[in-house]
Amino acid sequence: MSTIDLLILASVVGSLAAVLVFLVYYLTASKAESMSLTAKEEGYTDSNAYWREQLYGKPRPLSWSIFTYDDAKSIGLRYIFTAVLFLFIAGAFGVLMRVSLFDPNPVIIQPIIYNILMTQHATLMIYMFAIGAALGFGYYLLPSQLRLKRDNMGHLSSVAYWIWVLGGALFVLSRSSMRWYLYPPLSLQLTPTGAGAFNWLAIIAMELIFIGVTMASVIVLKVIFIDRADNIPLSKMPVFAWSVVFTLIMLLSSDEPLMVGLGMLFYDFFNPVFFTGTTSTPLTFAVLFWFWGHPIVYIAVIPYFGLMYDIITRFTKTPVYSYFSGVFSLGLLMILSELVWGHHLLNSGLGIDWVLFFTSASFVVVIPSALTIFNMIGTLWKAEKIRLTTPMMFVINAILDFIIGGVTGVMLASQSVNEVAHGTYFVTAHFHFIFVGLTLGVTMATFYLLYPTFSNGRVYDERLAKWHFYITAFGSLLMSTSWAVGGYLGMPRSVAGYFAQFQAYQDSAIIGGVIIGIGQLVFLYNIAKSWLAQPTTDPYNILEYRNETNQEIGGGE
Amino acid sequence: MASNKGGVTFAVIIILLVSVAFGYVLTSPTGGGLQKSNTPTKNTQYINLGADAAGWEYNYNTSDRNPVLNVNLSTTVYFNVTEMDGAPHNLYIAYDGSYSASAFAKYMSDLTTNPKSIEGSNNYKVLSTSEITQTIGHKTQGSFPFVGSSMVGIYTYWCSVHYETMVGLLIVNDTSGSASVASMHVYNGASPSHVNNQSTYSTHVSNVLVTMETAIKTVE
Amino acid sequence: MNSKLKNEMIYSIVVIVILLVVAIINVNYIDGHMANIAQPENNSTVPANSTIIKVTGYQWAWSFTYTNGTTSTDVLYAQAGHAYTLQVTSKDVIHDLLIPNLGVQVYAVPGHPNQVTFEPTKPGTYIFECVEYCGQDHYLMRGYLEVS
Repeated sequence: MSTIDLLILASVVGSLAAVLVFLVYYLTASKAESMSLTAKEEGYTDSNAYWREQLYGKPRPLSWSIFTYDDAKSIGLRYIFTAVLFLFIAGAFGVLMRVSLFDPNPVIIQPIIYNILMTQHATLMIYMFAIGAALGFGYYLLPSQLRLKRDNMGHLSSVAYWIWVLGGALFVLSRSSMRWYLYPPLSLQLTPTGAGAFNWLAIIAMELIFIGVTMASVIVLKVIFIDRADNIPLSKMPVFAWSVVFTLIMLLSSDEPLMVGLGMLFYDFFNPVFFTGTTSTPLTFAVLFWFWGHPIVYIAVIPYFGLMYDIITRFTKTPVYSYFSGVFSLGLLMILSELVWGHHLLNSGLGIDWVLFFTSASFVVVIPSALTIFNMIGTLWKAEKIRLTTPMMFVINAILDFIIGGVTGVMLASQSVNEVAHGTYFVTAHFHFIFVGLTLGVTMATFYLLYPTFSNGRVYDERLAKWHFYITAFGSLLMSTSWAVGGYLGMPRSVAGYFAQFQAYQDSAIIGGVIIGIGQLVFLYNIAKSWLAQPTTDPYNILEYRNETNQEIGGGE
Repeated sequence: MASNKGGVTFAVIIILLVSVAFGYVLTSPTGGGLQKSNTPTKNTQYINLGADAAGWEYNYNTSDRNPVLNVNLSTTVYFNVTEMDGAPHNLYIAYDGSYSASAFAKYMSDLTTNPKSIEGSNNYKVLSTSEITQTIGHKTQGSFPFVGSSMVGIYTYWCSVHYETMVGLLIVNDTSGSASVASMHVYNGASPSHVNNQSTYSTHVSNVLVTMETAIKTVE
Repeated sequence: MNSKLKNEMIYSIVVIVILLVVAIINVNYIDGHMANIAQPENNSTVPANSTIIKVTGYQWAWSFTYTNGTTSTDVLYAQAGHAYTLQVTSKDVIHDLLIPNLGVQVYAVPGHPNQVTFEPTKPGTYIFECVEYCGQDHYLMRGYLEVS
C-alpha cells in the first residue's frame, strides 16, 4: 500500500472516528444537561450528588445510560460487559486457532495469521477479560456489600475505563504477533514475519491498558478502605472485598517494572540500547516481564476465589468454614506470588542457585492455594443442603479444575519435570484448567447470579444454562487433558504446525475447544432469549443487599 | 432497559464486533506479494552492503557500488547492512521476472535511465528505515530465503528513500540447471551506469546546497 | 482448640509434609544433575568427559557445529553413551531448544550463551524443537537428534 493510499485510509478512518466520538460526546452532554436540570428542580446544586443518592442501594439494570452515569455501579456494568465482549472476541480467535491445527501443517490459515491470533487471544483474555471482569465485579458488588458512604471518584473511574478500552482496541488494531511475553529482539522486529509491522502500536496499547487498570485499582482500593460504611469493620468484610484488596495491592506493586520495561522497549525501536545493546541482554526484559507476568496470573484467580466464597456461602446458607484462614491464605498468596516469577525462566541460564530458590519457592506458594480449596470444601462439607443451580455447579467445577490445574502446576515447579514440559502444551493445559474452569466458570456463575439484576427482573433459562455449564466443563476438560498428555510427550506450544506424531492430541483438543465455543454461544442465546420475556422476579439478588435487611456479611461466625 | 431487547442488543453487538475483529485480523497482510518461504534452507549466504545515499557499497567498498549479486537457489541470503552516511535507508527486494540475457540487458539499461520502473509491485521489505538506524557504523541484518524453482530469476534490491541511486540487481541461479547464469560475478561498480547515477546524485546534492545557501542568504 | 482449627492444622501439616517431600526430591535432583540444567556458558564447568557442540539458533533453524568443524542444520548427531555439552547462543531473537525425550531444555539468548550437558543412552531418533516463540516460522524450527 502506497503512502497516499495509507493517508487517505487514515483520514477516512480518522473522520469516521471523530464523527463517532462527537456523537457519543453529544449524547453524553445532552444527557448530563437534562440530569443536572432534574437535580436543580429537586433543589440540589451538585447533580452528581443527587443522582448517586437516587441510585444508592438500588439495583442497576443494564442500559445505554451506564455510559453517561459515573456512579460505581454503572462503571462496574461497563467493565463487566466490555469484559464479556472481549471474552467473545478472544474466544473466537482461540477457537479459530484450535481449528487451524487439525492438520500438522498449516493449511487453513497462514502461520503469520496464526501468530496474530495467538497473541491477541492471550493478551485480550488476560488484560481485557480477566482483569476487566474482576474490576467490574469489584465496582458493581462492593458499593452494596460495603454500603458506601460516598462515591465521588466516578469521573476518574470513567476516564480509567475509557483508557483501558482504548488500549484494548488499539491492541487489536496493531495486529501484533509478538505473543504476550513481548520478549525484545522479536518484539522489536517490525516486520510481518517478526512481531508485526505495527507492533509499536501494541506497545502503546499495553501501556494504555496498564494506565487504565492502575487508575481503576487505586480508586477501588480507596473505595474499600476509605468509603466503607462505618459499621462494617475490615474484619467483617466479605471475602470478595478482601480478595479484591489483595489483588489490587499485588497489581499495583508489580506492574511498575513492566510499565517501565515497555517504555524502554519503545525507546529501543529508535535507539536499541536497553535490551539489545552490548551492555544488556534480552533476559533483562524477561525478568522485568515476569516480575509482573507471574502476579498477573494470580490476579486472574484471587478475585474469583473471593466470588466463589461468596457464592458458596449464599448457596449453602453456611458461613465460610474459617473466615480467618480464608482471608489469610489469600493474603499469603499475594505475598508469595511475588517471589516465584523466576520459575518461568528456569532454563534460561539464571544459574543453579536461582533455580534452587525459585523451584523451592514455587512449592511454598502451593500451601495457601491448598488452604483456600480446603476452606471451600469444608464449607460445602458443613452445609446441610446445597442449592445445585447453575452458578453453584460452575463453582464446584471450578474447585475441581483448580485442583487439577494446581497439581499440574506443582509438577511444573519441579526442575526435572520443568526441563521436559516447559514451553510445551503441558503448561498451556495447566493454566487453561484454571482459566477456563475457574476464571471463566466463576465469571459465568456470577453473571447468571446477577442476571435478574442486569435485566431488571428477568430470569435466565435454567435448562439452557445447565447445557452451557455441561458443555463448557466437558470441553474444557477434554481440551486441557489432551494438551496435558501431549505436552508431557513434548508437544510444543504456540506453534502453527507440529510433528505429525502429536496429531491425536491436537485433534482431541480441537474437539474440546470447539465444544467450549459452542457452550458460549448457548450462553449468548440464553441471554438474548431470556431478555425477551417480561420481568417476573425481584431484581434484587443474593449477592446484592437490600438496605433494610441487615444480613450477616461475609463469613463471620 | 425499558424494552425487552437488551439481551438481543448485547448479543448482536458481540457478534458484530467479533466478526469485525475476525475480519480485521484475518485480512492482515502476510508480508506483501513476495513471501518468505516456510521451508528453512540448509545453505546460507552473507552479503555485506554499506548503505550510502550514493549507492549500495559492496563489502563496504566505496568503489564497488550497486553490485549485481549472484545467489544460488535454496539459500537463505543474509544482508548485513551497515549505515555509512547517517541518512535514512531501507532495503526492499522485488521479483522482476525469470532470467534471460535480453531481460537482464534491459534491466541493466533501466537501472541507468529509469530505476523506479524496475521496482516490481511484488516486493518484500527486508530491512525497514527504523532497523537501519541513522547511526553511522550501525550494523543490521535482514534475510530472505530463496526456495523453490519459481524463485529463480531477476530481483531488484533498492532503498525506497534513495531509489534513484541505491538500486541494483540480484540474480537467483538454479545451480542444478543452466551454467550460463552462474558465470556472472559480482558486477563491478566502475560501469558507466554507476557513474551516471553518482553524477545525478552529486548534481542533486549541489542543487540542494545552492538552494539552502540562497535561503540562508535571504534570511540574513 | 476447636475442631475446625484442628482439622485445618491437620490438613495444613499434611500438605506441608507432602510439599516438603517433593521439594527435597527436587533439591536432590538439582544437586545431582547440576550439569544437566541450563546455565550460563562457562568452559570451566563443562564436565571433563563431555564433547562440546556449539549450537546457534536463528530464524528459523538450528545449526550445530561439532568439534571437528563440521556443521549440520536442523539435525544433531550424537553417539549413545557419550556426554555432550551444548553451548547455545542465538543470532537474532530468543529461542529455546527442547529435546523432550532426554529432558534437555536450554534458552538460546543473543548475547547470553548458555550450556547444558546431556548423555543419550539409547540409540534412536528423537525430536527436538524450538519452544520459545520466535516469529513467523517458529513451528518449523525443529529437527531430529540422531543417536547412533
